[in-house]
Amino acid sequence: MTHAPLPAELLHRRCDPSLLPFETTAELGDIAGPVGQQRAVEAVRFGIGIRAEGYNLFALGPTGTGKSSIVRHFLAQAAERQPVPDDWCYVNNFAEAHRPRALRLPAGRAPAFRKDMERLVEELRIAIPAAFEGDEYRNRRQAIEEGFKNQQESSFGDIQRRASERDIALIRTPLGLALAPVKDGEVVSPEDFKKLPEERQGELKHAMEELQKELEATIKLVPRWEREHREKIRALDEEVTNDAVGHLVDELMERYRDCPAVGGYLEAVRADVAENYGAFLPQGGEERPAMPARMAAEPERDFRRYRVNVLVSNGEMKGAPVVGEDHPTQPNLVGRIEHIAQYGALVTDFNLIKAGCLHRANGGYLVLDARKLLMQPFSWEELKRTLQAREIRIESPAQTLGLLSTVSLEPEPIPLDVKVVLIGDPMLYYLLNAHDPDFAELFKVAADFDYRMDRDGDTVLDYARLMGMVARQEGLRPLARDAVARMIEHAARLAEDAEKLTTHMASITDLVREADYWAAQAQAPVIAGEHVRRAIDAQVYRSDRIRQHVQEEIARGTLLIDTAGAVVGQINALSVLQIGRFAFGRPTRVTCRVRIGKGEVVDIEREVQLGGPLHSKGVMILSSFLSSRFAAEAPLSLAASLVFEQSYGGVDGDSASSTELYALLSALAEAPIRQSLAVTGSVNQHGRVQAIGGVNEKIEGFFDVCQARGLDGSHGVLIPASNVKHLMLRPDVVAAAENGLFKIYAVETVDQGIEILTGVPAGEKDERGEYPVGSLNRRVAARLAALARKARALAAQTRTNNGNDR
Amino acid sequence: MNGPQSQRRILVAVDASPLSLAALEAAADLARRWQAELAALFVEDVNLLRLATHPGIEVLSLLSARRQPVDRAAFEDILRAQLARARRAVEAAALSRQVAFTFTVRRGRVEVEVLAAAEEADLLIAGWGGRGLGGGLGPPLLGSTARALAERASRPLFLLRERMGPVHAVLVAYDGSPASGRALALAAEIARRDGGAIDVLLPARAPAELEPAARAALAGGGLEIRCHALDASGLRGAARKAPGCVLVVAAPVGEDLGELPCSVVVVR
Repeated sequence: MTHAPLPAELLHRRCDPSLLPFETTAELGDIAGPVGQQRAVEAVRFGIGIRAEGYNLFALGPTGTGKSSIVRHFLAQAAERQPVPDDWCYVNNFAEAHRPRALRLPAGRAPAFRKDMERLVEELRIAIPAAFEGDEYRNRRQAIEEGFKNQQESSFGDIQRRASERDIALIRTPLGLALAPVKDGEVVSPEDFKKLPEERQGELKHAMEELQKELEATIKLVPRWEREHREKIRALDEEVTNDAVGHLVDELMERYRDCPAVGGYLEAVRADVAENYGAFLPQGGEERPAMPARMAAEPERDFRRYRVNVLVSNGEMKGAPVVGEDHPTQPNLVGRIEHIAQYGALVTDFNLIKAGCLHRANGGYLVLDARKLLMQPFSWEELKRTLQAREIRIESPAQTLGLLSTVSLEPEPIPLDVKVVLIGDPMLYYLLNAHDPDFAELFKVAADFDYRMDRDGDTVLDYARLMGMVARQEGLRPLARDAVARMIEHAARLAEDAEKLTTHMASITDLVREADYWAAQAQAPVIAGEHVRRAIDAQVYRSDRIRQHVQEEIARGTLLIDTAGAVVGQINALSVLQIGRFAFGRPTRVTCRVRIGKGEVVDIEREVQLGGPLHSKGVMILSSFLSSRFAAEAPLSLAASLVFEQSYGGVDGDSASSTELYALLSALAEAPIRQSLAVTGSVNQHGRVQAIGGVNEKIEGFFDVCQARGLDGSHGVLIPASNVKHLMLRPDVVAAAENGLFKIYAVETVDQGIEILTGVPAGEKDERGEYPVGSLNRRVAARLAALARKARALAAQTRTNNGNDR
Repeated sequence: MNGPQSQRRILVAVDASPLSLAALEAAADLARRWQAELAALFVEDVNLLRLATHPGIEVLSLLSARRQPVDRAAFEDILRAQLARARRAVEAAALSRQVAFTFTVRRGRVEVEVLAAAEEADLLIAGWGGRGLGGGLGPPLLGSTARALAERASRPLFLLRERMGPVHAVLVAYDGSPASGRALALAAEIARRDGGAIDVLLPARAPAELEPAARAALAGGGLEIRCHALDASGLRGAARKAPGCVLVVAAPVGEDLGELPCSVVVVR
């Protein structure tokens, strides 16, 4: 039963600098694509390439794995080869002002169109007044007016003349027209009138009555004449405006013949100008009623209707757009309609429509952070609705909810052809997948970013290239080959696996920067291995305070951990504490006491609800192992209690289950356990030891305690054999192991473990089902059998006592 | 006209109609420039008052074309309101320009009273027409009163056809006659001094010396002088080419005054 510790070379898989085919990273070229992440890259390529509905992309992976930069890298490549999308602008809808029209123009032509329309208005402001001041217009207008005047004059003049022939005057009074007898231009007074012969009086009265009727008939015609006059003037005005506008608009139409939508719009402009020519005429002449602000603002407002609101212009673009939005609020996504306050009211028009990132990304790609998107109210629903409808409809949340009751617009929706790339952590992806039925329909491609990759010659070289590239891009020193080797080892340690490398590029590139700092401190021309080590040590030291305290308290005997001697039912377990992104191991004492009972193994952590479900599971498995191995055919008549000493927080994970089992076996067999060893590993019902996480930190945690007390070759740690491939231990641990001062044992079964811990052979069942004499298992079985006998005897005695009582 | 040393007098006939108020403004402007006295005259039309004394008289409303009976009291109310309005307008116009003014009310036939008052004035200003028949649409018709004044006034008569803008062209017809010489002089006084211009309209087949004579008469006024020969369209055509102008012409005016498209000053 000799158990050899692991050879030192298995404790830390070195990266041999001599195998790296370069002196420094300065010799290496840039890396073309990402390092590792083949699966995700394949998905990203596919997702970007396929242009079908619903093939939007969700890039999921832990932060720092380069999701964003990889996605952007491939998007930029793909976008370059794609056509530049069209420009979009909003223009007035002359028929329904609250529904602005969307106009599509070839890329880069929208700003020119805006300028052309501005110029058109300027020209109209000159051309229309000029047309109205011209001789032609004046003559035609005067002809109409004179016709009207003549009509009036001839009708009234005729009556007036006939009246004066009969000594009657047509008098204009403030209340209307009246007829009266006159003599020498003066109205005859009633007295004088009475003095006239009666015949004459009758004659005058008769004449006045006659004329009055004629006058009445004529006055009734006046409104009709006026109307006819006005209509003629209006028709003339429109004709003149049309003549003035016509060739200007025609010129524009010719220029935009390739955009049919613009043609339709220009037709509408032509009709509207003809109808509203008054706005182009100088406002002089009659003064308007007060309200100076209004007078100043109004001409401006009138010409707003002919403006062009360029929403998106892609003139400067080469290829399709790739747009990212850091603040994906609903208005930033689909655009918004602004208002301006005017005389205390909020008003708006199509000029105040502002584009959102969907407008800018239309025809290309939109990259959004899933978490930020989901944190913005309305944004997620709006994005889904827009993607489903394939058109961008601008509607503010207030409008949707009916909170805003001011003048608003319903701009014509703009057709949408965009591929959305969401970037987020896996949890979000799976939650959305589970809870949002639309999600799977809209985001059919998932690019799953791994947190680690294989460690082989190619990836190591890629890593070196990447570090070299970062150094070059950021003006850092190149890395010498031993520095690269050190970085590779660190990357493996971060991946918690000697055969893998982390893909958390952020920590690697950070480490390059920090190592450069130390190289600069040392005035070294390149970053050497020692600078990397220095950077790692400094990183650890910076976040090391709590670990330091724990170690101190162990050294000072506040936290009780024995590292020498042997004790029954007491063992050193290893736990990992994670603080932020820094993890460290902490030895913990686990003790076990047994007594007669009903077969229960009491987990004190669980009783006080400090144990997590995984921990409880581990304890239940070990009690099941115990009863199936030793008491398969008899009741298990013990009560055991297990406790993590001096643990005041929660405990979870099953990595202590083998430890607890060792403590239990030791207590049952009354075999002392060597306190110079610590144990980790979970156990199954058959007594096999299984892999756990954080193996490196756990070993180092115990090593630190032992080292502080002086290593004497007795110290060591038991780890599951399946964890050996994860070992990437600190150099000092490896050195101690090389010198035989610290031993790491890989165990596969509980029997192997207990032999190392107690020095007593475990013993195997023979054909009779019995364990060899002196073996630990035999002692356990005997103790359990003794407990069972005692229990039966006690039960019989109790029954007898009960019977006597009766 | 009196010499510039004694204070001159501008008479304006006001009846509170829009054009008469425009005439008042123009008169007040001229009064300030000339340092003249502004004499406003309001005539209570005796014909109107007498008309109302006839029993059972009816007027025809121009708005509704309906007959309605009136009495003297109604007319007097309206006249009183017009008088008050005219008085306020005169006071305001004179005060704003710091000119001396008088406001006189007379009762009688309008043209008779205005002509009588005009005897003591250097210039008579009146509206082109009163309250027109056509409800203010289209160009105003030359009123009967204005026509009577134009025929009989012994003093220069300024008939205002529309509100005068700040910049207006002054046209003057000159044929060498003494009256047209006076027209030239008055036109120069009406034209703006600072960089103003004056257009002299000469007869179609004018003798060659007419233009130098006109220029000589206007010399020293600081005005730009432009001479034009009248074509077949006559004064009417010339005035049409200069919208908003004032035409100064000697009586008798060769053309029907009512056909002229601008404000007219008739000089005798």
